[in-house]
Amino acid sequence: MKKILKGILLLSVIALVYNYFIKPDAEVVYGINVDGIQIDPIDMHLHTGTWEALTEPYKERYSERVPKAFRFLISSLLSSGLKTEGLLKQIDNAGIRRAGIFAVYSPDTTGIASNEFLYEQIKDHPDRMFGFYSIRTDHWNLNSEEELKKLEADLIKYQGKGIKLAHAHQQMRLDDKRFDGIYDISERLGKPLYIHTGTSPNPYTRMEPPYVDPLYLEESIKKYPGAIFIMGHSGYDSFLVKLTYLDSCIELAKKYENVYIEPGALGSRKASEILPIYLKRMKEEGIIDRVIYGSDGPQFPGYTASHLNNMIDAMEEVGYTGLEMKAVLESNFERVFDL
Amino acid sequence: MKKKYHLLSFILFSSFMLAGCSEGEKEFEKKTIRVEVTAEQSLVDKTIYVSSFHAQSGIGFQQHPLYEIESFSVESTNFERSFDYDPAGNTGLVVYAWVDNDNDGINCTMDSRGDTSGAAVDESFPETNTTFIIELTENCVGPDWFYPVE
Repeated sequence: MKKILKGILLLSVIALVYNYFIKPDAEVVYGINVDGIQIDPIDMHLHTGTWEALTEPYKERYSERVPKAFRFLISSLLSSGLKTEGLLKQIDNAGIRRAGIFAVYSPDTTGIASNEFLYEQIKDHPDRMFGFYSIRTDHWNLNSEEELKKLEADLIKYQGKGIKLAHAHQQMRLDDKRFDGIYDISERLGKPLYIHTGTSPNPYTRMEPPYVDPLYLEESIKKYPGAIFIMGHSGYDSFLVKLTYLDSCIELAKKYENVYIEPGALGSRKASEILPIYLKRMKEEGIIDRVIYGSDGPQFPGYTASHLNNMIDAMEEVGYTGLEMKAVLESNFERVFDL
Repeated sequence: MKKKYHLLSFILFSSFMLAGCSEGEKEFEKKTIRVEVTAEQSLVDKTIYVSSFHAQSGIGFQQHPLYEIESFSVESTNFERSFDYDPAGNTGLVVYAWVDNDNDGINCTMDSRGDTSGAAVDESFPETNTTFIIELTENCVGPDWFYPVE
């Protein structure tokens, strides 16, 4: 019996690898049509990177998803899946034409995908891949001026769409005023901020409220009304798989016009349970015009597509109209980012 | 044919499993530190939350400060603590503490800003290991407020 299971496992992996990395591309159809409304979804939250630039604990966590026998394949598969062609393949498979791609500087938790590396991946596809550039903050008392100058220069040089921050990963308190210089750049250059909120299952990520509860950002949101703050993951408590800090996001979005919310990763574990509750709340609170779709992909082959499909299913389940779906999946992003 | 295929699959799978089992284990050293916490305010009957970090961790571009070893709480201002220390790629020790003045278990909320923090740094640890004297001076800040600094 065990032999059969192992054989099936081997065949499954071969099929997976063939399907996502070898099989020739079929003709791609972008977008969906709901009630006569054509929607061209934008996934604002995808990651780039390489296996080598991940931290050791994160590599271990990532490896847990793969049977031990096939872990020798991870390095090459993950690296190619996170580079230009791999990313395009993932969004094509999901019927998505445009996506935001993030740089990250999280040497404590997940690792580094530098601004330079990000630009190399997306530079030939400016109409399809939008760069969200980031900043290293772990020596802030020593080099904040240099890092701020570099971020500003990178955003201009690479024509970045926005700024990516992950306080919990970067070990930054959300109420620490030393980081206001980043929000100042966002306001001056008109580059919206994507900010990770809520907890994360990744090792060494900070879990305490000052690092994950978006309410701690309120003073900076007030101080920089011209900067747009997108609350990544909607305060989702990925560690406990609960919507722990969603109320904080909703409170801020209702209070401040420069606050938006993104549901990245809500469509993965327990999606059928969590997404309908989440989407219903957005509708009841009257803030559908503040939700910008993102998935936190690619994670693994097929994730980008399944996250979008779960989102669409849940929207249909809770009675979103075609126009409401278009707002979340496309037009809110287009409005905020002037597309 | 089917039997042959299953046999081949099994051999391949077993080889990979064996290869996967040969990963090295981390080797920890048991270390003990002494910590003293001081503040202008009285710390009697107060809960103090403590975290220890490798001052520097990692190699090359991944090197970064403040890699957490452990976090715990104490009811005393003078105590010893033993922990498993991983010397591979790590240097120095930062011990950070904050006093929970409002007893809510959170280092400041937006409505309650009275919890005070401090840190002690020994960049030569474990070569040196003198008492870590932490003076609590700043409200509502994390360990990165104190380290690294000029």
